Amino acid sequence: MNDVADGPPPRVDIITDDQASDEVLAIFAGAEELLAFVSNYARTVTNAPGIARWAIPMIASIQRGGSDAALDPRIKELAILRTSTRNRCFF
Amino acid sequence: MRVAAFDRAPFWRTQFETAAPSVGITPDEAQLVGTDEWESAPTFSERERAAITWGDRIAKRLARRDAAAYRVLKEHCSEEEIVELTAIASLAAMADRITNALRISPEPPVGLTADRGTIDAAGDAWRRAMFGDVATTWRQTFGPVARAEPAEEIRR
Repeated sequence: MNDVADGPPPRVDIITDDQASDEVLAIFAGAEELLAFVSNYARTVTNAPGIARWAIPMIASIQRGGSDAALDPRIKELAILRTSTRNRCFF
Repeated sequence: MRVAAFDRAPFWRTQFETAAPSVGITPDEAQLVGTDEWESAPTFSERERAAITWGDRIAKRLARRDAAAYRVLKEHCSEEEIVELTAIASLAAMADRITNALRISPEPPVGLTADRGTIDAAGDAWRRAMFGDVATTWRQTFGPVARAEPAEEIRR
């Protein structure tokens, strides 16, 4: 599942739909609904479902926001791009 | 893409290829944000420039001391917006650290539509319901923490 041909392999296996428990499938369904797709980040974090069930809705709320969001999505995405660039996020 | 390739930053590339276009950020604008040229680029409004600068200072851990960046941000954003912006930049930093440490692979670009920006009514209801459940069950999930009286020398 590693798409980075020249990079080191992931340290933790991602959870596929086939391997997911009912609790994890519910988290994936939420990620699909709110973030449009289940990222490898979500599939990795759900190795700790007790964290993921809090983290994924939090990410959706902060990153996208609903009717209660203060900022528009464009300005938030600009801040994400700059933060990630400065952090030199390799993966 | 040049910056992403130079930095070997596939997570940044995912944001670049998937998330940014869905909220109206052009490839040229994303490229500018990846360099230091955004500060003078006319494509960004003063408000957007202040937000990008704030994200930059959070990433560099300079936000606490950078009075000038905060002063400019305060001119363009309400306190609610500043809190939201600080949360989003900090969330990005957390995601960067997790993806770096665990070497999580990026996905191929996902074709998101332009209306992906905010959660729609159905998703909003789902999110509120999920948080509603969390809000009513979190105390049972974790249980109370016993508090001890601080030692005499700590109280003083």
